[in-house]
Amino acid sequence: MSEETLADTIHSDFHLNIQTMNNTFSNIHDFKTRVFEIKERKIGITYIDSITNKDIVNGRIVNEIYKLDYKDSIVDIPVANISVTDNFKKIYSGIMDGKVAIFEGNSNIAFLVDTGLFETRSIREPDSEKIVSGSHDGFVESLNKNINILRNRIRTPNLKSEILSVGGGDITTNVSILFLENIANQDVVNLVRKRISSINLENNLTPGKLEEFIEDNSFSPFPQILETERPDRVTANLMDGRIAVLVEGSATVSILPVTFFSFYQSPDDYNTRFILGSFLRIIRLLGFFISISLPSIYIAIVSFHYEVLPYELVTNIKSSLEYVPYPPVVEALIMQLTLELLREAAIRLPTSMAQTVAIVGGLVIGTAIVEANLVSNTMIIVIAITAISSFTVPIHEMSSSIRLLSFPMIFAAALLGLVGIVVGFMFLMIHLVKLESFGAPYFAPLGPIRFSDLKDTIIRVPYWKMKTRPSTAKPINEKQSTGKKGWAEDGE
Amino acid sequence: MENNKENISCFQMFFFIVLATIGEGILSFPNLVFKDARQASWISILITGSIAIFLALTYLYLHRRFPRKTIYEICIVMFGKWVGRLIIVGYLIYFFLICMSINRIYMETIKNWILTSTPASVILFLMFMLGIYLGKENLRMITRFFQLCFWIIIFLMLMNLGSFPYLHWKYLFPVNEVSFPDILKGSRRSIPSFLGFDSLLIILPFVKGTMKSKVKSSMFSIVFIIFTYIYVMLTCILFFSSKELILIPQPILYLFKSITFFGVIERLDLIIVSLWIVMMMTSYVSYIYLINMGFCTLFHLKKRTIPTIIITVLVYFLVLFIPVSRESIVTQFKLITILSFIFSSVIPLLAIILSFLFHRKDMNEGEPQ
Repeated sequence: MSEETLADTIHSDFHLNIQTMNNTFSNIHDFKTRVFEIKERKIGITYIDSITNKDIVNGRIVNEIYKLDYKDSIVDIPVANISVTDNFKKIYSGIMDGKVAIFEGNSNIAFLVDTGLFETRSIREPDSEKIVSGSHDGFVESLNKNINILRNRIRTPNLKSEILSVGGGDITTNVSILFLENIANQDVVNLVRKRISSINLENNLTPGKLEEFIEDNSFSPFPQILETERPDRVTANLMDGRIAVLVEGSATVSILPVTFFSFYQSPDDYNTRFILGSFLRIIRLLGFFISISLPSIYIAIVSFHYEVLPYELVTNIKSSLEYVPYPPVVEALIMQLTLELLREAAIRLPTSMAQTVAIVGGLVIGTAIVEANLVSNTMIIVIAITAISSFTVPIHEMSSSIRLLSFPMIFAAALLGLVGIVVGFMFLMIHLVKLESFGAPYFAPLGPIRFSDLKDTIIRVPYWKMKTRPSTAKPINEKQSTGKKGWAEDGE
Repeated sequence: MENNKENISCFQMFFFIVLATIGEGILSFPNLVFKDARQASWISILITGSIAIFLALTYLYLHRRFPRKTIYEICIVMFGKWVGRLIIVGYLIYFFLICMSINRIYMETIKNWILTSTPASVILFLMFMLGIYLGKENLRMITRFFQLCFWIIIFLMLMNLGSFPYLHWKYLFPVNEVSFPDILKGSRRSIPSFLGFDSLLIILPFVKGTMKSKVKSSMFSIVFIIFTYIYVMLTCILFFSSKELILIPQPILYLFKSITFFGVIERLDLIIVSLWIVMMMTSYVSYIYLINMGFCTLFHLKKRTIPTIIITVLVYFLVLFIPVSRESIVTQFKLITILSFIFSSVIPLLAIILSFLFHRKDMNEGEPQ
């Protein structure tokens, strides 16, 4: 190890240094080397053309180097960010970050000037997480810009941002951990830091890969880390003492630790009146139960327990089922699979063609399949309601998970009727209760019951009533409001 | 560290006790108790409940003397290594028999009520899987699940409201026609329904909190159980005439069979029986947990997976292959009643008396956290 570092130190021979740089960056067409000889001093600058800011290189570096006097130091170059190093490894990674390396004469140190310029797209609202009212910006694929967006909202020195260089071999990705020091629990931060730094992956890191490395249970269908592209959601979660993990080159921010119910909260809830916000919450949670259990309940009733329905309803359903040649479970599977195919096709196609798919799929297949007696009318209704209710989840990942879960429930109902559904739900609930996200119980505040957290789970109370932060992230500063309107006591 | 994960709060203990207790008996006890105590059945339940409260207080007293020991460890301390171990084995057999009876009642009810043509092996297999999946977990996870299941009891009680228009208050009178011995007989028959609160003997050391809040929580859970049972008993007495109630084995299900949910859902009994599986499962799992703890004390085990598998496999095959007759169920009930007398009251009381005589207590070990 020590030999290697010795080999990486900068030589005290100018030409040898430039030679080393040229060797390392051979076959890179946009790697540039420029050597100056000014007032008997040899100065060489090296950089990668395509990722550096030309204005700075030309105006601030080359121009200033020409003006250098005998005793002037390179450090005097008027740029904000300049660092000194004697190690080639640091120079390599610096150059890959868009920095300019400056070698001088026969000294064995080099200077790195930050001139990086990586292209990013402009900010716009993420398509997958639209809201009605509230802020409409979204993250972009640049770590710095994302932190910029967050710092715009949280202007306190307590917002800490640590950069970890994660990866394996010579491929590393910058990962940033953001948290509010006066709220977030340091134990959780340490746990997250430990898990992230332990990642050893010689591949480029994306939030998805990062999450699979650090989450508690990879074999669960439920996401245990919340992924979002919305700055307002990240801000709200940071204020609850949670931790945000940003990965360079990705517009997705991971939030942890979260509970199941975090996936059902939307910024919309807080931007509308609280009664409506609570109502929407309840509708969404109802959507969870419907999308998991409605097809299975229907199958259980029509294939096992007709008695449960009133007589008139039975005749209706029976008449629509009469000409369908196979059992309801096959019907349900056909329709669920068709729906998944349509959904997947609509995502892959450009927007203009997606509408065609919707018409072909929805109208043509929908009516034709019933007229051809392949699937009954009632089953179409059931599957349609199921699909719609699964789309009410604000976070896309959770919506996919619960649609996936409806398949085992369909099989359980087809095998054992109502008993199958109850047993299936029990397995589901036991699984949810067993899950933990970074030490926080995943299904809190229902299992375990935490009354103080219920205020922002199934319903949401007016914000001035939310005296404490949710206990999921075990915040060290729990109080967030006095529980009163400040002016109410003035007798206004 | 292991111990740390085991801890629950007093508030959570309430749910554990309630769901460990309510379950196996709730469908059939109104019929059993009514056979003897007639319209005074609710008094019988009150009597059994008071005994349960008294016993729970003695457990709490025992716990005060040995704040960090389960009944298994107390037995070893009080009765010596070998006798103590023998008693532990006795406890395990007793709990195991209850597990078997839970599974048998579950199997028969499901087979008779809803899955008539499904083989018993399949029905039992569901409980077997659930038992392994939750039974191997620690107390905290089990209690978390129980907290979710608690709402089913509330839901059942609310559904019961549908029977209110059909209740006949005169069925409750005259109370004094029933002789006191009959009431006592009735309360003896309700004992199996109350079993489960004795899990206090094992879980108390893992409950965090002051003695006062422990007492409050355990009392409140037993009062809740008594209230639930009396509520169910009363609706059954008032809904059915006495001739009916003697004949029907599962009065609650018959009650739900005859009411509808606003005319939209009929045959509520099918839904109730499916939900009742949850309560059976919670009782089963709580007993698996109790047996696991005994195994761990006996063999100094750390992991619970192996004992859980042994218990569930044994229960599965024994219940499946031991032929059932009406009499064997009755003898099993009687056996459990006698065993419960020994293990839930005699041994804890004996332990208290012995600890008094020999001034044995654990208090200098400090209060449990």
